Amino acid sequence: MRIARQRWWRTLAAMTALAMLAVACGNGDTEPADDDDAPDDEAADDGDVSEDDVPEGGEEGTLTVLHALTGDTDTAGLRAAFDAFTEETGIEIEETGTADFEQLAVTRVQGGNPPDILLHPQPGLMFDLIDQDLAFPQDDALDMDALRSDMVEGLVELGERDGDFYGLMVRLSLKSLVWYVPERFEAGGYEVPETWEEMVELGDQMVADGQTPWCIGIESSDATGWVATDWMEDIMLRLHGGEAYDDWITNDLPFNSPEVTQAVEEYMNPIWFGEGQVFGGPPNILQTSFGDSPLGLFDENCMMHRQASFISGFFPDDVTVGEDVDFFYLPEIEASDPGAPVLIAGDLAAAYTDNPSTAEFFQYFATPASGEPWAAEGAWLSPFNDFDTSAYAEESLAAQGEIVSNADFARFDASDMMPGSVGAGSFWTEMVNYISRGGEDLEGALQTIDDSWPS
Amino acid sequence: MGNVISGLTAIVLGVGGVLVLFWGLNYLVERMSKKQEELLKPYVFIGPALLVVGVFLLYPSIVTFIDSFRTNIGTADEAWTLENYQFLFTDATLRDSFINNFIWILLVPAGAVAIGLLVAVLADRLAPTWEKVSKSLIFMPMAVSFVGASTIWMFIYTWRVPGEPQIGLLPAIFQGLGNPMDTPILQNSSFRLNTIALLVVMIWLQAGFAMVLLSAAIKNVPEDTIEAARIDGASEIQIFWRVTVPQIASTIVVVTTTILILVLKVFDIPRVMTSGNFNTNVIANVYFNLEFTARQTGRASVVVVALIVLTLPFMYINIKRFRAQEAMR
Repeated sequence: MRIARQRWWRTLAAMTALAMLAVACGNGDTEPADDDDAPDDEAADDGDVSEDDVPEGGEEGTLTVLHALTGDTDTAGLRAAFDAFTEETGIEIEETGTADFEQLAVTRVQGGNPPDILLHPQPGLMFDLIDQDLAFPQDDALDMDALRSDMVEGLVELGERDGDFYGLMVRLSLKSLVWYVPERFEAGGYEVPETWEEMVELGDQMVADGQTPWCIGIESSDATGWVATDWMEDIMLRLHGGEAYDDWITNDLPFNSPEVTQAVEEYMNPIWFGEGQVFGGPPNILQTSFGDSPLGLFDENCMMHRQASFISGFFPDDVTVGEDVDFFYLPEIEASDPGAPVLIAGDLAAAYTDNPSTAEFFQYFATPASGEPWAAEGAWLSPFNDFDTSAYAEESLAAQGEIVSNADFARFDASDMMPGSVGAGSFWTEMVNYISRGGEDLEGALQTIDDSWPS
Repeated sequence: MGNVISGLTAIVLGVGGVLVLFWGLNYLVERMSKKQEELLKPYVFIGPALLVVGVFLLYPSIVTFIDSFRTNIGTADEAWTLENYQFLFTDATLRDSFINNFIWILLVPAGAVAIGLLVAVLADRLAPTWEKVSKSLIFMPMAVSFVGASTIWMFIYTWRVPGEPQIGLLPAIFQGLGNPMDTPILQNSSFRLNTIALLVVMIWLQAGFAMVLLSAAIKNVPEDTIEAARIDGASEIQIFWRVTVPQIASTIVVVTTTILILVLKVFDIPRVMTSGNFNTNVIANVYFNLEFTARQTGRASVVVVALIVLTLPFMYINIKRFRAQEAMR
């Protein structure tokens, strides 16, 4: 009996040792071989990535990239661009996409085992990490003067912190678009408005004709509210111009200022809370997910929908952009004269190791042509002025690219630039509260946002 | 497939590793002199547990406590401050969340225990087959995760513009009766209606747990005490309140405190169903947003400290109960 038990223990110990060995080998050997497919599939499925799935950076000849792209089109484009990079330079890229980018990025970088490169969808986090001396500037690797003239105005400055350049935009999305169904515009005798004022008149005309002008939906699980902040940003740009907008981002122009109040009261309220202006009114605005909200265009619930270029991915399958649905530039405010701005967003690459291969990554993606494989997959806009528009998968993308390059100035999504506690916190939640009050007590909402600004 | 293999190796490693650890340490101690063995042996067995508790519970708690007095952690502006505590007591959102947590604490354990007790008592009187069926039905939600349960209940609450096809059960019923809802239930914070709608999900999940324990306790009530009451002419309701309930009181307290501690940690249900909007936020969700979205570790820590302080009395009651019960055996 006693002998038998001892033998059992020994077997167990041996098995455990074997298992340990297997795990140790497994991590070391199998990863690079399988990795071309494995992480991508995971990312495309549900964006559910655990910390262990992201390979550690720092090895020359291989770059690890963590990003927030999880959609099928986006990941396919990213992979195409990275494959072209590998072909050109011989540097392998292991990329991982996750819906929990912020949390994962913070844990990895602050925990001391960062991926080589992060693609930041929100520069705010990048600035935080730069301030903690965790990122590596790329000025020495790049010809900054050339980059400044090649990129869309303002994008190089966007990647700078205290005079050093960290963040290179690799993907741009255009937010200042209004989507509509041309056929229904024709049937109603409506014309695409040239100014904000015309747009408001058009909306009133539609209401008079018994139509509902707008579909708006701001539900986005724990990011609920960003659609409202986007509207506000577009209005701020059109009403007060780029400099006031920049001051607003740093709270030098506070939320409770007359400028911001005017933007909401005079330009947002008439549309958002006007009688018959938005399908379903505030309760429906609050509970419709941003991805479902454009469907009202096709169900004939509404005539117009303001949303970024990416929203075409949420349209029904049988809808063709340019035929069944089209877009126009969210027009300038005539009463104010800061020029024609565009509100943009995008992903910024920043380096978190001093891996020599990162320099080649930045040099490669600082050229306009680097985006061509990505453009061919669709739902992507180039951050460069002289990008070859024939490379775009669809004509509509070329038209969007034109809107960007024709704009007088471009600014990045303000809420993504503000400190996290505001831009991903109080700004969202207070807009939600304001809308659920049906547009009452704006002053209280704006004051609460100001109060939440970190000292 | 790769996930299955790493899962299995993790189980083998986890369980096997612990076995090997205890076995190895025991083997070492047994080779020592009798005196040393007697001295060291207790620590060999509680040592690893102490280590795990220390590393994964005590150390983080202490760091959290220290962090609650610091601001701008990890940056050049890092400093000691009391600002976090000022935030704890003055922030309006946080105060709202405390109120909501309080409503959860008040209603969920009471609701779950009441339903559990009712089902346990009534099922006790059914034929064995029906008792099993009814109990299984009540118990089934226990197997559903919080996130899964929230998704299920979204199909009950989800609202569409009046006149449109409704996909949520409740608004559909109202619309079917010709009286469509103007406001979605989850947005309606008057009388905290939406918070109550959320906590119903938790009651649905926990009633089964309460039922199982209470049912076992009821079956343990000596039959002769009930018969004696019947002979004395007590009504069934009197028997329930005066004979049964006093004899299962300790189980009721344990079930209540267990659910209560669970409720203090509630996070998933509000996060999935409302993201904490419309006055439905709870402390744990506030913590998560502060730590991972706003990246204000100091403020997040102070919220955790508050949560720990709130949990302590209930833990104390539970442990005291547990000890008293153990002593009786």
